[in-house]
Amino acid sequence: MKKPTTEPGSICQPGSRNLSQPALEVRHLSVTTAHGKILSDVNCAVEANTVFGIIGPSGAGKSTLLRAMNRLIDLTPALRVEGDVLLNGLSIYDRCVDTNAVRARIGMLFQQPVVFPATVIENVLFGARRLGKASRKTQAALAEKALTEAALWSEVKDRLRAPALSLSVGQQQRLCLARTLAVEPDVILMDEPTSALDPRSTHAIEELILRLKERHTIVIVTHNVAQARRITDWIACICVRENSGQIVESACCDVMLENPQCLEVIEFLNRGGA
Amino acid sequence: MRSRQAWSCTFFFSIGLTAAAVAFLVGLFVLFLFQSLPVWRHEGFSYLTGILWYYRDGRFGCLPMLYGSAVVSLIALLLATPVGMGAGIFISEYLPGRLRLPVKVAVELLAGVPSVVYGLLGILFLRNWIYSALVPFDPISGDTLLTAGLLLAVMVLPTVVTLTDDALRGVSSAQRMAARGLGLTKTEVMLSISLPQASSGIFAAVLLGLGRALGETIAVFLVVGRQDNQWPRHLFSLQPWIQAGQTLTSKLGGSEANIAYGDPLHWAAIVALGLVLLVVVASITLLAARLERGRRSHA
Amino acid sequence: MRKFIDLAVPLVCGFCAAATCSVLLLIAAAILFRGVPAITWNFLTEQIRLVGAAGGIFYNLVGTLILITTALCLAGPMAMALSLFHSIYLKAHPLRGYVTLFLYTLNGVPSILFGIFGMIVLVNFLGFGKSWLNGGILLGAMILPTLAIALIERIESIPVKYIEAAAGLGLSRSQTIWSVIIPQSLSGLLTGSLLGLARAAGETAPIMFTATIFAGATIPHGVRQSPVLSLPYHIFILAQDSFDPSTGTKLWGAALVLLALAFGLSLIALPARLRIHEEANH
Repeated sequence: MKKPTTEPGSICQPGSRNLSQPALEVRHLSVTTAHGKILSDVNCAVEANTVFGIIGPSGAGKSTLLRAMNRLIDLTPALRVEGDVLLNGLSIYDRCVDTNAVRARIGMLFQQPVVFPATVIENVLFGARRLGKASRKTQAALAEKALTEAALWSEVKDRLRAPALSLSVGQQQRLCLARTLAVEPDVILMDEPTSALDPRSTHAIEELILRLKERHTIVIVTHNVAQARRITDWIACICVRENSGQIVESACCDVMLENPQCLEVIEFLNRGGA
Repeated sequence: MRSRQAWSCTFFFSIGLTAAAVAFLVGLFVLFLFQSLPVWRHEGFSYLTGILWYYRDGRFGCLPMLYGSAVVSLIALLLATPVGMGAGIFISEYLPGRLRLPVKVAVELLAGVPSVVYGLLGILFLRNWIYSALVPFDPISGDTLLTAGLLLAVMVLPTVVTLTDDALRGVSSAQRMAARGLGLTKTEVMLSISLPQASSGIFAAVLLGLGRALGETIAVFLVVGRQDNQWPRHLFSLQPWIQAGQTLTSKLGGSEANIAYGDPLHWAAIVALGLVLLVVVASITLLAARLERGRRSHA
Repeated sequence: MRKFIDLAVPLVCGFCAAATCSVLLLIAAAILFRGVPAITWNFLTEQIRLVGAAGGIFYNLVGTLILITTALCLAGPMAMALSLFHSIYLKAHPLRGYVTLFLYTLNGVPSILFGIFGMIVLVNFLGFGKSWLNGGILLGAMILPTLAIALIERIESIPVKYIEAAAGLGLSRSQTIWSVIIPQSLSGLLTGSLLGLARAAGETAPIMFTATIFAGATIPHGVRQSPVLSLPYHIFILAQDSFDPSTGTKLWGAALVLLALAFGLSLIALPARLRIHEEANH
């Protein structure tokens, strides 16, 4: 295990520990608006089948980093992105890359569950159908598989035709997860996915994340240090330095939380999170 | 309003003038109702179903004018709805942010062209174009229901564009973002998320466009031909579309309104046209407002 | 298939948008092209002669300005009252929706009906005859919703903290209205007024039976039997017998002046108004 230091960028590369390629790698990423930098020179690598946590005080640019990882950031006008993000070694910011295909391979779960005003089953198959991943014959099986993976099948199997908005908020968030899973992404990005949920639903989602990492790679933004301790394998902490967000420390979960090196991280952890 | 200090001049100023404005609208409706009573007594229901209007013989049937209004509005909407929806979709979904304002200003300006200017352009250009285009059908003149409908299409276009844009912009960005996050393209998100959710707003837009088309007077007056008693042999025959006709508004705006004032029955027949128009347009407006409100409370 | 739809839909929609904008350009170009030759200093400062075939449109312009100024003076306070009643006194009151509904209905009333109404009540019942005041009242009623809706959107976009700050100082509701809300909403009144004026300037139907004649009027004195000339009615009458080529250029000149008046007023107001509208709705 490498010793964590406060040098941004130098240590936060778990991928360098072994020779296998990281699933997702961020290289010298900067995001700039007209008013200044949001993120500057972010480097990190996410190994396949791990849970990568991003913590840090609010407003430091955690969500921006996450959105840059699947180019959802393109939809916000007036943001300039420099640097690169590699998915399995291939740049997603390359000019000839189809951004929609990138987003299909790198799914996203939002802070608030966003279900579409349609039935449960339509929500699950919403992306898969349009991306041509569910033919008429296979879509029932696909929906069941996705819902089962999202631990929702037993609860909704009798009400697949019910409006999705009739589900509880916790169920809606798992439905959103199932919808993402149905598209069969390699990586799933989660932006504080439990902050709108009650403790029980939070627990359910956390268990799911641990199960999902067997087959997927997960990047999760959380403001909850206890949650990071429970589910992540590797943590990067983003703080504001010189008016822009930077990764100030990055280490494997235990090292980071037990023995943080950087002053900002210690302060952040002492406050118990955001 | 319960506290004593709230019963102030400002409050009375505010409620008084509001009441006056409401009274004006109510008064307008009541006036039209009462002034038209003689013709309802005289003709009864056949005022609405009669197809003959000879005021010298005391025969008043407004169906040909209802037909004329319906046809010109139908033509206007058939043209303005697809084009207006397309333009509204483009402005809200595809147009880059810094071009949005100039294009929206252009659309609003189009709505601000005085109707008499539209009428003038209709008389001096459109009428002749229509005449040339209709030569194979041996037209009498270029003043037809079709001419009025085409002119109205341009006039209601901005209404449809603006309100379609508003309805689409009202769809939550979280929904769009979530759908884009699944890997759907901009167009797929528009077709599967934005458009269905904005559909009631767009329907309201079309209804308001219909209201505007039905109520438009001056431009229609100048190009519709104002031929009384044009009733088609078959309701769905297209032949009358390329002939002169009369709409509710062109009758109301015509010289007959001045002639009629001395004769209570004739005047009542004219005012009753206004009442019919008022009831139809107000119902359409209220329906549109209802749809609009439904959309807002969902959003 | 996905690729095709992705390409075709924006193309078709873009074509529609381009068509809409080009209609505006065509109209403006046609009026400019034909109207500019007529515009001379004398055209703007002389009165009408020979049934529009000679002379200018001075009193038509003056008449239209009188009509729309009167309309604004009547509709302005009324719109202020309506919007205050809607947004302040009826805040969170079930009646509030009905005020909006009233405004939408009034906005939807066809303008010719205002004309018929005015003919019955103002011209005959009150015995004003044809008078500029009739036109002002009717046009005022017509533009009231435009002004009121602009004001309501502006008032609702005033940050709550300003109102709370005023209330925190112990100001009563009326004092808050006069010291915070009215000053803050003046920009809404201004843009709404300009748009209302632009709309009123071009309206013919409400004034043709009630307020305006084709020739023979100058500056009105008093109210009874004191009609004015107006630009839209002038165009309306000339357009009906537009086969006389000598009136032709004068007609286009009048149309150009009217269009310039309407566009000029709108263009000052629209950018600010559209920004407020976008913020209010989204």
